Amino acid sequence: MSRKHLIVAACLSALTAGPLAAESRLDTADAALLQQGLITTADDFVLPGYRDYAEAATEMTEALDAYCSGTGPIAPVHAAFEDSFLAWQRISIIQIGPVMAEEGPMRLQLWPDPKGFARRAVQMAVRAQDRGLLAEGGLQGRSIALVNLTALEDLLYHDLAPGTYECDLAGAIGAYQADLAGSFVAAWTPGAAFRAEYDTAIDGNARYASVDDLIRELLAGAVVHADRLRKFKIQRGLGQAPGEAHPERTEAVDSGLGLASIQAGFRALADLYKLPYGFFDMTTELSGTSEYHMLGKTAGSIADALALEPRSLVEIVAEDGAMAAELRSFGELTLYHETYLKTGLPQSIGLTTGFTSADGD
Amino acid sequence: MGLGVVCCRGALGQPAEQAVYVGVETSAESGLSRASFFSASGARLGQAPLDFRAHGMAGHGRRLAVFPRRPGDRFALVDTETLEILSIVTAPADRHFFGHGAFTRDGRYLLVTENDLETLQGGIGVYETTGAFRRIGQIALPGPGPHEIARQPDRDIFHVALGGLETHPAYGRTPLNLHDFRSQIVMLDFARGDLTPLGYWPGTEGISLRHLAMDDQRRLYIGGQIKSRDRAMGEAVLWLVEGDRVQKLDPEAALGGYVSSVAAHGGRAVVSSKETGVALCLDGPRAIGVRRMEGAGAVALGPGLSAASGFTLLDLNGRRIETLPRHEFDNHGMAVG
Repeated sequence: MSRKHLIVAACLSALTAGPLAAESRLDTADAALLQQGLITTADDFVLPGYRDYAEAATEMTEALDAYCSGTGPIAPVHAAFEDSFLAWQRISIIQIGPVMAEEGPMRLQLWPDPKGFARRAVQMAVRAQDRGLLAEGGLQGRSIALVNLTALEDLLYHDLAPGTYECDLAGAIGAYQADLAGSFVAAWTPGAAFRAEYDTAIDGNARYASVDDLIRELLAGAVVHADRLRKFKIQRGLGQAPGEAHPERTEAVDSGLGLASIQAGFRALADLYKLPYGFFDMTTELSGTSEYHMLGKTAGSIADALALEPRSLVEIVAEDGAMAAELRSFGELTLYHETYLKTGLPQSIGLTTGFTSADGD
Repeated sequence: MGLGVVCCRGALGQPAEQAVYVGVETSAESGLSRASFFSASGARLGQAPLDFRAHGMAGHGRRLAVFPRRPGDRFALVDTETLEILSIVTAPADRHFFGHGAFTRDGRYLLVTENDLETLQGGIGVYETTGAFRRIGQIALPGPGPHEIARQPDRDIFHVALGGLETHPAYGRTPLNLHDFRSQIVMLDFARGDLTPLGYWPGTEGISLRHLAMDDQRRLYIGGQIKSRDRAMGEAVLWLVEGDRVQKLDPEAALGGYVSSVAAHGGRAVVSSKETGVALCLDGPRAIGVRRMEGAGAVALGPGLSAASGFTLLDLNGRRIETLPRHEFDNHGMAVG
């Protein structure tokens, strides 16, 4: 046999072996139990979260319409931006489904933005005075740098004047966000195509061939959320030790929402964990670790403590005192969440997640 | 003794059998990878532990370069006989690696795909491997997001999959120009220094071309990923270039809009898709074999070697090998020896 024949034979021998079905590592009853927990999580956490964001973004658009046409004040615009921004911080813990399509969550918030892409995109649009961007649907398919909350904040908190292109552009971005949030609500509503796939993660389901796939995505999103809390929302501005603080690197400097964003991040973790009959609650039925209970209580306590803080994040970071040290320690606590989400929980219920080679390149 | 920890089945520096395949196994706990070496009989010969998550590899003689998953900034050089890590090479401050590289035919130079963090345009870092391993220059590419670079089997003509996506580590792995990116293949004649873009092919809209390999008949197999479903036309993500002829392939076995890796040897190629768990064997445009395994990622062909791995199983010449505990096989593997 020639060398070429050997190669072909080797290729075929491996490739014609029997199929290995993508099946759950959980038994049927356990998989069904966790699926039910995931459905409850969708109904009682995900869907209300997207609804809050959609409603706030719609209110913002209406307030901007009034302000830009000279018939309303700026205060309701800022209030609705605050509601929208914080609603997103909460629901951004969910990184499953339509939010991950196309450019993913950065369509909603491009931050950190050390290269200043959002500001540059706004400046370019304002210079060009492109009316096409202002038309209904005009921002669809445009750069994420232009359509997200960071760009919107840049417009809303820099002397936005009624009757200007800038004001109309802010309205267009608000409308884009409201439409996006509305599409998420639609997709997560029971009976919708995506939701049907989410609710039935079994072999034959094109998107989720097993409940394992769904769990992997849920946990991976929560890990990213915890990681962002520590690395970006806290450490980026505070540094890792006293003397390393940079107030200008904190989140939402212009709107002053940095601390509220951290609070919303911890609250989201706490609420996701402690949701009655939700996914995490159900894992204990499979002898899963109950660590989530303590982690949720701690995250909730941190959120409560931050709610009482009268100073802004920029002020805390500039002062770099006791509260800054406490925030750094809060950030370190998220490492426990990451360990639980990456390996502690999955291994306790017989899954291999944490790292998953599914996130290919 | 170099930097690495050696873990051999035989005596240090003397594996009991010759390695024919190297794969990447990544830990669930740490997210760090090991380059794991296997014999033709499927025996584990040892592993080189890395301090990063690994992606692609390139080999020449005893040298194996293991590249980081983007946006990693370090790659390792491993001795495939002793499994010793000879050195860790760090990217220049304004650059990171994209996960792949290729040696010149004589092994004197190593070409590595990179991201220029100022311009977000792609580049190729050029390293000289004789004597002290050192960076001697860089080649600018006509677009962002280069991924795999592959050499023709018989000469120093390289093809680079220029994925087209602008990314910056500060923004995670999110593409910043998804709305209007275009992807193409670029050919590099290394000796002449000529860079020839092959142009934007119809049907590549919304698709980032990522992985490629050329067989001994100079047929170039290219796999892409659908990155913008709004712009992509259909699910086909496989192309074949033979001379001046470019064909879009749409095999019966679905690839789910995603090709994990491509390998070629002799007159054959194998492409895989984690999305659908398919490993597809091709002879030019013709599919000649298909198998399914959960999370089909790494594929490799070599003299007397056919390997494909999924999340937890490596199929090496028909032998099934489990991954290390709490590890998964990562995207790429390659024939060695």
